[in-house]
Amino acid sequence: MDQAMASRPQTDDSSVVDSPADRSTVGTGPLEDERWAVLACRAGDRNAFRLIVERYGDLLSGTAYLMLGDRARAEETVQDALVDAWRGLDQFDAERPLRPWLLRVLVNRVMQVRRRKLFGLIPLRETRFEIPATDPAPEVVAEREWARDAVRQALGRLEPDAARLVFLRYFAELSISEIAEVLAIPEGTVKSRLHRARGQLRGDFARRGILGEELR
Amino acid sequence: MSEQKRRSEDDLLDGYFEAVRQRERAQPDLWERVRERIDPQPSAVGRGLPRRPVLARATAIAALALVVVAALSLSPLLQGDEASVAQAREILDRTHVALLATPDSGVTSAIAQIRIERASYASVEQLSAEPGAQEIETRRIWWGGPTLWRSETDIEYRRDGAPAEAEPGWLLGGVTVSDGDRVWTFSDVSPGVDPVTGETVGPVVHAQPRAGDRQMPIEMPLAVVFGDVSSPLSGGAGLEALLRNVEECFVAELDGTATVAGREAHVILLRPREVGKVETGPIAADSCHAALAHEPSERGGRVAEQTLALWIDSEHYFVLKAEKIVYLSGDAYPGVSLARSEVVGVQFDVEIDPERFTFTPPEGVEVIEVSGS
Repeated sequence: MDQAMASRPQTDDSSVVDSPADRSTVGTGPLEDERWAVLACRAGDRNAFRLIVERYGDLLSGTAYLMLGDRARAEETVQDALVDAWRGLDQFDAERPLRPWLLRVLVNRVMQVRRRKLFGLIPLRETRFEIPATDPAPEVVAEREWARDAVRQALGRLEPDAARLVFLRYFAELSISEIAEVLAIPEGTVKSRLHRARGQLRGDFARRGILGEELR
Repeated sequence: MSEQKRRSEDDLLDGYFEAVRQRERAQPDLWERVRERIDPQPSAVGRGLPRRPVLARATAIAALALVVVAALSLSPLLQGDEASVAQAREILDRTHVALLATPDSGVTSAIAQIRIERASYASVEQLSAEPGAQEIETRRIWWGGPTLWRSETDIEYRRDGAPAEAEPGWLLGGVTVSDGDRVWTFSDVSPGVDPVTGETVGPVVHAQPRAGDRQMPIEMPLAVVFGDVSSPLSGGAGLEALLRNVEECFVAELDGTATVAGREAHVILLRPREVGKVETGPIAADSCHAALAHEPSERGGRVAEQTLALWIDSEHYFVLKAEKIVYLSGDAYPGVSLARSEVVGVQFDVEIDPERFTFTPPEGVEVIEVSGS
C-alpha cells in the first residue's frame, strides 16, 4: 500500500491538484504522500481520500472495535469518523501527522456512542485467535491463547478511560504527547493514568499466573 | 528470543494487540461505504454533520416501554422473596427505560453533588492499588441541558486513612464547563517535575468548540450524569449493558426503600448467580458479567464473593447510589476492595445562575485550543 501511496493516484479532477505549486507545498519528508493526499482532498479529490481510508482503515477499525466491543457498531463508527474527517480536512494542518488527528476524530465519535451508554467496553468478544501454523506444539498454542484471553479480560476490567489510554498507547502506538492531543488532556494526566492502568494490569496478570513465565 | 527471558506485561500486551491487528481489519467495502457519504466538495461551511438514524432506537425504547407497562399491569400479587424479585425486576426495567429515553427525562435542570470512593485494602502489592490506598472524588454538577452544564471535581488521595501527597502529574481535580459553544476543561494537575521524564507539569486549560462543521456536539444528558454514578458497579460494561443482561448474571431483590440525598430510593441488591464459578471462557462485551470481579484459579477465572447494590430514585429512576464490595478470601491474595458512588445532594428543576455556565481560565494557566488540528 505504501508503494501505491507514493505514486500519484487517479483523481476526479486532476487539474485541481496536479500543479507545481501544490506539489511544492507538500515537502519531501516521509509523510509527503499524506500531505499531498490532504491537499488533494481539500481540492475535492475523493480518490485521494481513498488512500487515507485504505492506509488507516485497519487502525481505525481495530481501535473502534477495542473501544466499543461491538463489531457492527465499530464499523458504523469508523464510517462516521471518516466522513467527519473528510469534512474537517480543510481545518487540519497538513504539516502535522495525520494519524493522531484521525484517531482523535474517531475517539470523538466513540465518546458520543459511549456517552449514550449503549455499548460496553470490553475488547474482543471472541477469544479464539488464529494461531500461526508455525507454532511448534499444541501446549504452546494453548498457553499463548490462554494468556491472550487473560489479557483481554484484564483490559475489560479497566475503567473505560484507562482502557482507552492503553489502546491508544499499545494498539495505536501513539506517543504520550499524541495521546494527550487525541484525548485533550495534559500529558501528565496521561502518564499518571497510564501508570495506574499498567499497575492494575500487572496485578491482574500476576494473579492469573501469566506474568514472569519463561517465554517460549 | 532467549529461553531465559521472562514474560513482562509489555510482552503480554504486545502479543495481545498484535493478535488483534492480525484479525481486526477494516471491512472490505469500507471505502465504497465512505465514498457514498462524502461529497465531491469537502468541508462546506455551515453544513451540519449528518444525523444518525434514530428510528431503530426509538422503536427499541417503545418496545421496552410496552413490556414494562404490560409487566406492571399484569404483575401478580407475589409474596416473600418472589415478590421482591419481581418488584426489583420492574424497577430495573424502568431504570433501563429512563436511561434509553435520554435526554427526554422531563427534567429541565438539576444540581447535584456526587461522592465517589475507591479503596483497596488488599494485602499484596501486586493488586491494582497499593494496600490502604484510597481515592475520594467529590463532583459538583450544575445541569441546564445536554449542552449547558458545569462539573467541578476535587480528588483527595489517602493512604491508610491519612492524606497522601499527590505526585507531580497526578490529577487533583478540575472544572469542565459546557457553555453552549465550547467545552472548557481545567485540569488541576499536581505541579512539579515529573520524576520519569524530568518535564515540568502543572495546571492546564483545554478549550474545545462545540460548533463548527467538523466538531462533534458534546452532550451530557441528565441520565448519563446519574448513569455514571453506577460506574463502580457496572465495571467496563456500562449501566445499560448491565441492565439489559441483569437476569443472566444476577439475582436482583428489592430490599425496601431508603433515603439518599433526601430522595426516596428503591434499594436493589444484586447477588451474582454463580459465586465461585470457575470459568475459562470470555466475558462478552455487552454482558453484565463484565460487572463481576474475577479471581485467578489455576488456569481459570473465578467469580469472586461480593456484594453489589443500587439505590434508584423512585420518581425519575436515576441511579442515586451504587456500591460494590469485593472479598478476596480463601485465596493466596486475600483482601477487600470497595467502590462506591453516591449522590449526596440533588435538586431538580431549579433555577441556575447563568454565570455557572461560563468559564474564565485562571490567570497564569496555559490555555490549549484543541479545536484545530
